[in-house]
Amino acid sequence: MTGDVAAAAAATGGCHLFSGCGYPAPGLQDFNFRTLFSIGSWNVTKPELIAVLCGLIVIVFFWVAFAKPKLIPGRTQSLGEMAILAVRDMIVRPNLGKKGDKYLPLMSSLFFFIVLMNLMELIPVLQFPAMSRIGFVIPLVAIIYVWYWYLGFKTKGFFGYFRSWIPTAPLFILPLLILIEVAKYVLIQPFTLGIRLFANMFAGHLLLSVFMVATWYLAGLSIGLLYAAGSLFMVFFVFLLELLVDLLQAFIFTTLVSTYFADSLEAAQH
Amino acid sequence: MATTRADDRPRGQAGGQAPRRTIASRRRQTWASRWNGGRPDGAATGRGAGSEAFSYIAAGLVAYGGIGWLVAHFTHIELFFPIGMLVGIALSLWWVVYKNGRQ
Repeated sequence: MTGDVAAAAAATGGCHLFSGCGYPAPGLQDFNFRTLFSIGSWNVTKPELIAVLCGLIVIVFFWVAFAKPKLIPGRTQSLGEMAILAVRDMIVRPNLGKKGDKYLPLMSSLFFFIVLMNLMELIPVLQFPAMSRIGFVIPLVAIIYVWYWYLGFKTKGFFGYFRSWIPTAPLFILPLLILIEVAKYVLIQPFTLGIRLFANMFAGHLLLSVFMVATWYLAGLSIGLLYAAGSLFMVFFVFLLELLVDLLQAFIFTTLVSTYFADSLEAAQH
Repeated sequence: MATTRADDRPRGQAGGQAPRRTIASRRRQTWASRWNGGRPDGAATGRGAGSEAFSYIAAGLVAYGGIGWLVAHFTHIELFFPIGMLVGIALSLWWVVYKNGRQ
């Protein structure tokens, strides 16, 4: 965009093709939000409100579902049971077996919290996946990291856990592989766990924004209307893609967490 | 307690005798298997297999790329950095194939 007129037009939403302003491309600035209100020195922004809202929804839903469980479940309890059993049968049991049921509260909370945070991208007015800000991903990864190390120490002992990293490989190559195993457990596993979720949400939101802004920019009484229609089609397509990615990323995150737990608990299960 | 594979035990031995360990069976017992808590042989199974393979490759890249970078930094020969990364990738790829190729 060049010129004050173009900037003013863009700011008022009047920036269209052939109106003298360039395409106002979405970018990093779309991931920074102004302060909505302050509580003391804490400036509350939209992503924070979204995170609090998602947390409350998960807590309230499962509280309402299981506060007074009945033998013949009502609608909310049925829905809650279906949700928990889905996580148990698709994520926890395949990796951890029946002994993993004690981690079901963590896994189901993690899964539904991440799903909701991701789906906020597609809900009008909210339209922002909070997990596209790495500040929300890092605490989750930190909790999991500390927890699977703790489980490893508890199951195998302090030195036993580090000994379990030694791979069963020919002796001549073992010293070279130990470094790779250490890097994998200390650095790579937590890093890739977090970055996978963050990058997918970041890229998806950016992609959706690009096509949405392009649809608005191209719309006008000119050939641009045709391009706007094409861009609108892409919005629908990317919307469906993002719906899939939102669910998939939550599933992948939770599955990998259960895999890491299973790895830490391995000796206890033999 | 050392772990050995089933085929290390000689066949047809009379009961009550200690199993005779051959040179071949000693070779197959790896160093790690002599330790308590050593991981059992076997390929990765389940949904984590792909992620584990990726983690190994990334770990090799980071670990040996880091060593290569350090060597390059002190020797001022920049070529060591990419060589380190390539060595790391090659090593971890070999390990992934070796580990998952054994059944």
